[in-house]
Amino acid sequence: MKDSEEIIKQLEKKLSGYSTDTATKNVGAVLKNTDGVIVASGLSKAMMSELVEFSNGSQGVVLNLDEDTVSIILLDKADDIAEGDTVKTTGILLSIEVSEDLLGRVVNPLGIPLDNKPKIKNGKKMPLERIAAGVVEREGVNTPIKTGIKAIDAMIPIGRGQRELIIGDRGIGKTAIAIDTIINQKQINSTKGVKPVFCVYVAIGQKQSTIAQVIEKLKETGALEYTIVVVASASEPAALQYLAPYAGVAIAEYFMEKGQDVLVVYDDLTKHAWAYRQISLVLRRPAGREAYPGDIFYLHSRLLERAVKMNKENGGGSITALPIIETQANDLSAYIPTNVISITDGQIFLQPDLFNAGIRPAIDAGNSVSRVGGAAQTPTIKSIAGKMRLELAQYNNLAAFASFGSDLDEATAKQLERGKRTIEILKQPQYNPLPESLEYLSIWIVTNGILDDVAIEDVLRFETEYHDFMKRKNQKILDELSTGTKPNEDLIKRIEKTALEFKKLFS
Amino acid sequence: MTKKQIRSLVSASYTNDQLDQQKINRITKLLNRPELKTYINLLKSFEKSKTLTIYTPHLSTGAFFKKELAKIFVGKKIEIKEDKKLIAGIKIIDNDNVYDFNVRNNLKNLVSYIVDQ
Repeated sequence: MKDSEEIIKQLEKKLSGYSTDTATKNVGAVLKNTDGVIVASGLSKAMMSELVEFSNGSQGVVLNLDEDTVSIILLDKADDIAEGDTVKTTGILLSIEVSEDLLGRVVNPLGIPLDNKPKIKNGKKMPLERIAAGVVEREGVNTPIKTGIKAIDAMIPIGRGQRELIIGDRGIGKTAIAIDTIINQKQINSTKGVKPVFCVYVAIGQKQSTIAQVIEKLKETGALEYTIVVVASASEPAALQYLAPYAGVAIAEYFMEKGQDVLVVYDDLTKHAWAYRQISLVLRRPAGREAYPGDIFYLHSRLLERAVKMNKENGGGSITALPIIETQANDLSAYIPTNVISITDGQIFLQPDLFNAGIRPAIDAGNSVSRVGGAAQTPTIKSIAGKMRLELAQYNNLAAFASFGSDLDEATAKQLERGKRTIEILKQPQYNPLPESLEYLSIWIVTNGILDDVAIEDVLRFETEYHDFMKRKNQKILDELSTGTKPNEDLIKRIEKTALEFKKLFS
Repeated sequence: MTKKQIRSLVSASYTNDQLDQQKINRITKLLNRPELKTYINLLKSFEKSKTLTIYTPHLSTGAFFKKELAKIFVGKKIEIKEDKKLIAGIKIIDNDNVYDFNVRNNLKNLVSYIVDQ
């Protein structure tokens, strides 16, 4: 039993932060409730993006300030709000409570747990809407974020603080690339001397079953420990889907302010644009191209501008953004894809034809680009990636001519064969990210002709067995390659020796 | 007729800060049904903005509050109403602003604060 003194002390401690200044309220009355948007009179002191509370306890956000009325989007499914109900301002701009306890959790855009665990308390309130860091606080992208996917790390490298778009039709592996990148951070985070990367996965307008699968996969691979999942599924109101990516970046900013590196995946911004279009049409904002409102570009630019690499004076933290866009019938020239392509620092373009031909990840190397990632690529991979990219481009050119069926000279035939093997080696199974040392070895054996006389169907087996061989017998070489420095001649000679040695054993 | 024009009709419906029946009759004859609805709504909100309602647990203190608050809210029509639930203190409603200086509101805030903790 607690004695009375202890109880009083606890009460006093609880009430230490209590303020009696909450005596003034700005109150309005509901005029209309249509499709999750409330029009209310009064509320003359309401601010844009301010949280308001209805008489039945449900909450909303102010999105339009008109002469006599304000328009509010509902954050709950509140069909019982009727004309004449009161609504009051709270003086709070929409924010989410964030602390380290949020790692490994699944929450909605308001920070309400969806994993049957207790609510985060005593965290820092991070505003959902915030102006991105200015140019003075930033520095160039200079540290890589490894995806563990050979094709990306070699040809389309991503740096910490970069915004790299993943774009393609439905069901061809866009989410898989993002999830693989999150999973790959496990080995990065366990490496000594490397700054860990925290991850935020934002699911917007997706099926609950798909989200459940992603969470399960993250749990299974141990990636959920350093990941926060923000969920606004297809069954949630459009308002929550609209707010989800801003909640994701607000969480990321909490860690970034502490000097940490964060990776945020927005899956996907097409559905985010749909949700915003729905809200805008209900709010009677003028519709433009494809019925999107006039500020649809700003919707995504202000979100993606919050991806940042801070300079040392400002903590040195970073937010890397991997937005995902779903195209219809491979149409890159649609409104939202072109908008987001122009905002981001590059794109990974996935092709359904490649996917159907069994090339997975189905990355179209010709149309994919990383505008700033090159500066962040480690010298190890850089020393070898250029040659591979060139050979691949030559192969693609030659393959087009070769399809006419004319006789080919020996050099051309050799280049074609090399290209086929390069494409084969870039195939990689899902949820199997590779460390940089093994990525280097894979690319090295193909660009140095070791695989030229290996049958195409045996290339992947050769690669896997060679990796096992190196792990078992030549761990020192792998360790040297993991340092990130450009391999010297001696190391390359040793790699060549091991590759030839293994080739003799390979059958 | 635009909303702005109807709003000026609302202002014109007053003579010496009081609604003028004759003016209103003349105005309503000129308006169609939707315009009339807007006119009534604007008239209501205009009236509401000119009125200050004071809730007190004891009507006996009303006269004092009326006198004091008339100095702060100059030109407003002041109405006094009784609300025993306030326990002590007052509640002032000035258009869409509510000033809750009473024991009931304080207790309510305290409870929600403790629950949130």
